[in-house]
Amino acid sequence: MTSVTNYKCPACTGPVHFSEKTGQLVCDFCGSTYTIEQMDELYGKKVEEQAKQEQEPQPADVEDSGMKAFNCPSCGAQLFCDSTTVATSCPYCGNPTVIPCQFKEKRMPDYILPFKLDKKKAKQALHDHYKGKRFLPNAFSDENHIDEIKGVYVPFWLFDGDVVADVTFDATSSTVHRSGKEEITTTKHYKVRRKGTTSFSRIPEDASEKMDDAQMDSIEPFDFEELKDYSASYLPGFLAESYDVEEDACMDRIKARIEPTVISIMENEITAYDTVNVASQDIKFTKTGCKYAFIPVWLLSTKWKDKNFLFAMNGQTGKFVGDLPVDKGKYWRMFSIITVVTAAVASAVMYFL
Amino acid sequence: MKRINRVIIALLVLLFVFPLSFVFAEVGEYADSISVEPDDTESILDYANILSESQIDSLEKKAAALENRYTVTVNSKPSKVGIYIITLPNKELIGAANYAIYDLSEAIYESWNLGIGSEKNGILLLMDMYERDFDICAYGSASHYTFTDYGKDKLVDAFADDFREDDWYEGFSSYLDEIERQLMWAEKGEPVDVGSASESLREKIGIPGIIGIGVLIGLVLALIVCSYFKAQMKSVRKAASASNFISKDGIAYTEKLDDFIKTTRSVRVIESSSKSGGTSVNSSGFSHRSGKF
Repeated sequence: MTSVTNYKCPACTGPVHFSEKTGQLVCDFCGSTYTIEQMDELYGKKVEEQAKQEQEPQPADVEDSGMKAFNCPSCGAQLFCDSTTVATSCPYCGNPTVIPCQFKEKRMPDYILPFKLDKKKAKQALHDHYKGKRFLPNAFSDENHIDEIKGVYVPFWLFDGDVVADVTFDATSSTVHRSGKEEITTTKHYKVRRKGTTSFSRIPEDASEKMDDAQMDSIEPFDFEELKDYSASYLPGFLAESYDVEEDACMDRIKARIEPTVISIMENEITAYDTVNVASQDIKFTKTGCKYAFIPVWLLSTKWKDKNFLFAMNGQTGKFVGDLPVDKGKYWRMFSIITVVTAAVASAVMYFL
Repeated sequence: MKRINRVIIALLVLLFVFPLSFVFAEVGEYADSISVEPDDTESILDYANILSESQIDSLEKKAAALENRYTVTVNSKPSKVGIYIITLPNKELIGAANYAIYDLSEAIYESWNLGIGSEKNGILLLMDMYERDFDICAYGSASHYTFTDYGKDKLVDAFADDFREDDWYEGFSSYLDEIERQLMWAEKGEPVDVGSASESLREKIGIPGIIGIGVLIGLVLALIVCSYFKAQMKSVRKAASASNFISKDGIAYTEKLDDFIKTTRSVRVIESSSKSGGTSVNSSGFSHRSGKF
């Protein structure tokens, strides 16, 4: 059986969790607080040893299901988790649980960006997200109950790289002058070529198959100045997943983001012309580094009319995203009112013109 | 120049003092068809033979009806307006090959004693089929009041397309329809002119047209507003840029080339946005609108 670690209060052995407000671990029972460094001293070595010891396949792997079985150190209940689950909580006793052996055969994270916003903020952000949405069905916001809110450390690759760009633009500048009853436009055409180099650092790319790439893109940006060296002591109280998308598999998406960025900057810096359009481009990205980081995300899910709606909030900045359903009745009502009122006003104005 | 014009006009007037049959007998095969100046009941004189008898009858009746139906009051003086259409195979027919079409129309108007009432109010459309020239010539205060410069442009618009395709009867019919419209507005005291009530959107496209455009504007606005609010419902999008992660130094350029390739020119004719209203009357008391068809 694969072993797991419960972070317990050294004073009362109660379960502890990471507090977003204080950045420390807090005991759920006695309220004692501990710094990350203190917890690392107590549990860091144990977690590392477990991760090393369990490099070999474990007999408790549930064959062909992709699930793994663990025993909760607190209550002894058997837990079944995905092969990528790194931190979870016991559904029976609720104790936060870290599973260090899940890093076997995989990289340990280099960094972690700790949660700064708590569950209350996520709930409030959801209500704020509903505000001003004129086509939101009333039933969705009135009757809607959040099925689940979970704080998840999502695995991200942070790419560094250099770019060598060679872009050619078709540019024009025009002058207009009048001659009698004629307006004459003289357009000068130019071939504009720009070659240059630049670098990018820490472009984030979601490394989890389970997460929607677009949703993870949408909660950017993150303040990477606040990245910490990875420690499992940040995990208690949250879920965490290890990566299941290799860094090389992300390269196409990284290039797809870099190319328009470079072209856009070049275009904005070509100011001597009236129009500038790309004629040809040769943009090469060379990866110079790639770090593995855990990024904090609050995930909120709900179901409405048999359809799942998933919302995500940046656990650091509070940026909240999630597509909402459109009430077709409200849509067509507004459409009709605007059409009728505008048609009446416009017709009246034209009648008296 | 004015002196030369006066001489020309005097010669033409002299020419028409004689019976036209005498003059026309000198100048070719059409002479036989032109006998005498029109009597009071004739409005359509097709010397170019471009209309059938029935078409002439139809146009005659229409012109006569318009003359009788509308009365234009200027300075408290009510007047009828005579309507005349004359087609010539060429100007040589009346020995006036070298004369401008507008001089010819004035000469004809005066020598044939066209017009109604003491002021001789009337409007003449003269056409030279050989040169494809036309002149719209109006005389008398009621005519000048009714047919402004802008109004004459509208008369030309009425027949221009049909005449271009040699559809003479349709062109004349449309011309008379436009004459009727302008007489109707003049009778109301609001002649067709720049910015007049007759040229309002309501008159041009009618109430159904106004409602149609109004609904179209409403639909477009509704689509824009609803699309804006609908877009607010979607906040999840794939990132298409990495601008937050580029080096603060931006791009270090190693080469910048700007090569001139060519110059192109395009010309657009500027249409005048406003026209002045009113009627331009020359020293002979006529107002004109001439051109080619």
